[in-house]
Amino acid sequence: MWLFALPALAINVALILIPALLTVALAFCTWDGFSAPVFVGFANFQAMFADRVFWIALGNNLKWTLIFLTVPIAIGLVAATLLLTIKRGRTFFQIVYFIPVVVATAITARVWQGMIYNPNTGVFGLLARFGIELSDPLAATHSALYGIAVVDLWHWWGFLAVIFLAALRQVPEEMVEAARLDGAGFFALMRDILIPAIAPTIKLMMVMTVIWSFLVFDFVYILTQGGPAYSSEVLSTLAYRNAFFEFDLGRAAAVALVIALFGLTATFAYVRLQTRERVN
Amino acid sequence: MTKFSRLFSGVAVAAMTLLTPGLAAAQSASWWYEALTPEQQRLLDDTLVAGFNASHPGSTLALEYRGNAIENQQRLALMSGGGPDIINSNGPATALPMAKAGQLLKLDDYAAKYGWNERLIPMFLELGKVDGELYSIPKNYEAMGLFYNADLFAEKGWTAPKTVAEMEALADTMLAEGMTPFVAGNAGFRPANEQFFTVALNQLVGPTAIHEALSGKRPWTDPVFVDAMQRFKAWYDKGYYGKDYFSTSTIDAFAGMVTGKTGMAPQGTWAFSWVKDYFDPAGAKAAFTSIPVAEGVPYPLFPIGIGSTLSINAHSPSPDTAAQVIDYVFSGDFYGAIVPQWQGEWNVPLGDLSKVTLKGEVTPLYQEATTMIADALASGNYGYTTWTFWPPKSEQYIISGVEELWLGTATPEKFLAGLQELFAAELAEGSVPPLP
Repeated sequence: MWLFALPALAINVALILIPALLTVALAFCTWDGFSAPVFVGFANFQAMFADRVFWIALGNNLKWTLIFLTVPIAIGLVAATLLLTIKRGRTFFQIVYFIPVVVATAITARVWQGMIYNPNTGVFGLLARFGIELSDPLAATHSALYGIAVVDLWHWWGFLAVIFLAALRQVPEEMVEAARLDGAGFFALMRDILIPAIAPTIKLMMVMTVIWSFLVFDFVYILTQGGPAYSSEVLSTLAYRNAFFEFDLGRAAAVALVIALFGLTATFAYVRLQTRERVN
Repeated sequence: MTKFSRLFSGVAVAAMTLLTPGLAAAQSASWWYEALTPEQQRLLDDTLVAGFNASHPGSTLALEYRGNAIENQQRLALMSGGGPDIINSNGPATALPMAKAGQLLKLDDYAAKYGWNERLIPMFLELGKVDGELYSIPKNYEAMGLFYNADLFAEKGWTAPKTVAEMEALADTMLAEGMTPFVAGNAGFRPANEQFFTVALNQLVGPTAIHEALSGKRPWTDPVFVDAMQRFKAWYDKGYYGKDYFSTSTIDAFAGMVTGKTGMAPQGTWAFSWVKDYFDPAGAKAAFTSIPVAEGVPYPLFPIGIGSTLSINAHSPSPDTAAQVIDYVFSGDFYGAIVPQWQGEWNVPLGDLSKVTLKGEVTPLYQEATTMIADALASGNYGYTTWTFWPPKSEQYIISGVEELWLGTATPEKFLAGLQELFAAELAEGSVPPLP
């Protein structure tokens, strides 16, 4: 039996465990990526905690997590429930909702940047000609992070809708019919029957959302590269800049450990939750 | 044939197949190149690759287009003892740690063999030295100057500003006419910030004070820099860089100069390729001159930068072929072939261009600009660009710091204090690139 597990185990050790351990070790070293690493104890963590940009980035990751734990999950749930109630056109809408998910991140980002937000070439520019002045959210410190979040939300909620629909379709139809016969309306049906029935799926998606929110990189990097003035900096863009532009790989590893810490905490919470539910 | 002999033959054939490219690779030099348009790739294949292969029988150049983030790909490969034979870095600040880590081959013997010391501008060779030994040579050098629409200036009766006071007066006039005075924008490319910082710093304080600061003899918190940053911020606040700076790309803003939407472009010589893209098709006439300077700063003044350097991988199996390729890049033959077709990108630091025969037409503007810059260099009228002379952390700090300064989240004093703290640490650890 162990032989069957060996290939997967070898891949995991080579591609996950060893790089992870190296990252942990690197967080305690100073290394420019060229010369030999030098052990410096907790110096990278001290420097990281003393860096105001780290706290800005951490704050932005927390804001991002909060947004993605609420907005797309709510939209996805409502859309999935609506899809459940219709018979004709359900597949069509599922495909339409899913299209943004399969479009390459770089394309989505560039479309929003150049064709929607841009005050000269985008929809915002067009609206300005009709007297509706909308400023590019990516250009201002107070709105850059939210401007990026809107793009990611547009790309993401369809995925959740399809996942939730798949879960909702597993809910026994008799339960739904019985609730309807008892006079339950749309909101009562969602609150008392459907959401509790798919709670494990929702919880899993929420845990994954926490992990993904701390890994967010692509949309931020393409749209603002963390700017303007660090306003959309997140931990992953900070680590990337530390590693590949400032040649401070030890510091980057320390930031990466913080990212991993949040992911691990979310995973641990999920496992505990699962265990408790199984016991109950 | 027995099973054993069949197996032996198979292994022998496989071994030959594996070994043959290895033997051939000894005569081949690899070079990883960044993402280029199909047209640019064709141009390099026709001029650089075909030109080298034809003029060096028995040696071949393998130019590989590896997409974006080429520097990162190359760095990871170098860490594992691999990578291409020819190392193309982003400038002296990147080549310096590579050389210190023993990843680059010493080039002094090749320089003597091929006569690079005599053929190239000495100042640029100095920038590639670590402890007096040569490890990298600039592939091209760039100069920051002022581009403008000559037709528009003639029509309006404007002249190119030579002083900062003249520049401010002209910028105010442009603003009054509804134009954006400077071609500027950082959408998609935040390092554009440091280009504007570079120009402002050089034109306002001059190269002497910058040289002193880069040498550690004057702190960045010195009042001369504080005053300069206050003025730099005032220009942003007045709208010189445009109200949509963060939503506009510099290239789009440059195209706006043709229609009179934007006024003048404090830009690097790489923008000559944009002149070809936007001015030439529209039949408009571009002009180029020195950046305007404040009182007491030498004029003309061109901040000099090195966009990329060439070195040889210390683990290269064919360093001699790699050296041949570098020598070919610094030859009059290649310069004559590439420059007429790709102006600004291959500004190889050849000392004497009079012996070069250009195989194609070069615009009078480009010729005029090249001469102007060469003369300024010869007389010491050059400034310093952040991406060439500042160490990496300080440079990254400037890119974000300019935004903080402009958007008011940092005062000039706070911005410069942060720069001084980082720079002092990098100076102490020896990360500041060599200065001419």
